[in-house]
Amino acid sequence: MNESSTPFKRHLRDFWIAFRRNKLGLLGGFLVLTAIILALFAPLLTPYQPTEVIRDEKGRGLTFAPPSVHGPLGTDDAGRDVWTQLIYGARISLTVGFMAGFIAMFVGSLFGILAGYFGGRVDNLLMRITDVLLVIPDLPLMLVLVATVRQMELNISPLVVLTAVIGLLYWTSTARLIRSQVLTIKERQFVDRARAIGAGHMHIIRKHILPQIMPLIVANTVLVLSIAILIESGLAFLGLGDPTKPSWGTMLNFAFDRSAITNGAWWFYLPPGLAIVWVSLGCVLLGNVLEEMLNPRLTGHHLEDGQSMIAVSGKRSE
Amino acid sequence: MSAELILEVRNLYKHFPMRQSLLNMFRRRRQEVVRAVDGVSFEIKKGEVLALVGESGCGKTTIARTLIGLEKATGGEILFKGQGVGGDDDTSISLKKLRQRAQVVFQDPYESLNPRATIYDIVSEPLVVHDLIKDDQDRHERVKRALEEAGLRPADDYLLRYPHELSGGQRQRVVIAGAMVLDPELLLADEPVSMLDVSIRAEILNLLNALRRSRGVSILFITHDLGTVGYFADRLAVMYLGRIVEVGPTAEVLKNPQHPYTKALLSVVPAANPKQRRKMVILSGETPNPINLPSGCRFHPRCPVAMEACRATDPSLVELGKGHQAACLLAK
Repeated sequence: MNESSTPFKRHLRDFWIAFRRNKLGLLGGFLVLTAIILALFAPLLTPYQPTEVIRDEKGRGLTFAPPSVHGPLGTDDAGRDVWTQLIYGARISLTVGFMAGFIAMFVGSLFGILAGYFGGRVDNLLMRITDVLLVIPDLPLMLVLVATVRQMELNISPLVVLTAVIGLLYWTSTARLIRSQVLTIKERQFVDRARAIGAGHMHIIRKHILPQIMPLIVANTVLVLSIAILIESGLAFLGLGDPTKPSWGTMLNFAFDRSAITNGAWWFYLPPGLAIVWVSLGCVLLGNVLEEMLNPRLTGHHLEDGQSMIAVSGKRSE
Repeated sequence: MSAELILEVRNLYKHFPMRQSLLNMFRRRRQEVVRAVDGVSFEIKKGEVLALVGESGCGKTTIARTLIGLEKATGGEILFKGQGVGGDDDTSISLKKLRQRAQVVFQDPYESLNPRATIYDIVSEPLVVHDLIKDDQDRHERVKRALEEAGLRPADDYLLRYPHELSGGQRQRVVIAGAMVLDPELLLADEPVSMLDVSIRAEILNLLNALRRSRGVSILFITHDLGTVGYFADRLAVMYLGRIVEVGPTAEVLKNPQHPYTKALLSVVPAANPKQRRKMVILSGETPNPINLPSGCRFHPRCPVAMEACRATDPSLVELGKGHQAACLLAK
């Protein structure tokens, strides 16, 4: 073992070696990464603006032009470039999805840690709130909430409303997952030792609980991201997106409204649909692999790392 | 015998309530409790090692956990240097202060270290928690000194390692270093060697002994193994089912045990000389359930010399001279 490398680097390297072996995880990572790169470098990858109307030599708008006539992906009903919309839309979809996913993760982790660590009444209160949210159907509730907030004309961008609603409603399963893990960790002796030393609750949560569940949080975040992106697309398709900043869901909404399907303009509705599949499939693959590697429940290596992980999982396969 | 008392425990009780079924609650049944610690008194003087011996389940660990405040005592008094703990009056010290002056060494060195913390993090944690040494350089020095004192030399080789990279003995040394870094006055060692390989036990015991000599720390040494006790304990207390049944200077108790339970325990300790023939007292039956304690002397159902009176009378500790006390009707 290389003595000069810091422990953190060593962990990262071990992790990468284990991760590299998993083909599905690599594929997932590739899918997510390409989408992020396209979104980041959108202005470099197209000469147009997403709202710009493409015109032919006579100055007429080029509507429903198939890919053979214009650009890589043709134009939509208003003569705008579909490829441009797609990669600019990636920015919206990914931003809303990621932000909402992180909010959900944060709220879920916070609820899970507090409920699991303090137990008793705190646990009861937080988990009953979770239960209530868990049994209300997500999509109708979100629809109602987004529509209501819009009605109030608070001058908030619809995208912010969308992000907040998804983020603040989609943390229930995370909270349950984290709570159960915290319950097992807080019974372990090193937590007792910390208490016996005189450590306060914040110290124990920060130094002893959080490091143990961090891998779980990371894996779960990736899974929640895919769901957040899907929900965003769903809500945007139903017309709750921002029409001036179209995401993939908004594009599908436009395509549906403006009869792209009856016009046979497949280049208008297929790309955003496939893009959604592309990213959420990537997140799911990546998340599953990360979860498999990091979730103590699924591997049974009991939060250990390094060699012991391999040793114990070897024993189990006998 | 005028040495300063570090710890005084008076009539300590710790009962764990059993989960009661709804039906029994309606029937107004009395709530059942596990009487883990049932009226225990002892004291530890400055620099003294008191060994607490007993079978598993007799309440040894519960005593340690109650002393450091991990469990709340059901009744009784715990005095640290004459001061109560956690009370409202001026004479008592806070639990946090107690946890600075008294430290615990847990039984399982594989479980008591956070697998994701480096050795430096672990040993420096008490200093950070109590906010004692602000300067990073000083803290670094202090941690290194504690590690070297615990026999991990050179300390620099260990600072950035993780617990899983160390052996059981090394881990227990780390735990001890972490406990000693605050320079405590009392060490609660809860079976510190029972999870370790026999070859390493003596090393850890030597280390504890050396620390007692150099730092003058008092040690409550909890064990189920009478073999390790004679090694360095000044006094010995034998526990049975939540009570101390015999206590006294180690040599005296080992040589002249008065309680039949102590005699039985001693008779099964392997002797160094295999040719020496001894009569082993094998106790019949199981330890009674600490929920339903037997009447009278709690040892009488298994006692080889039980009399009729033992069923009725619960004997208390009787002074036999030189601080040797036993709780048996036959003790004289």
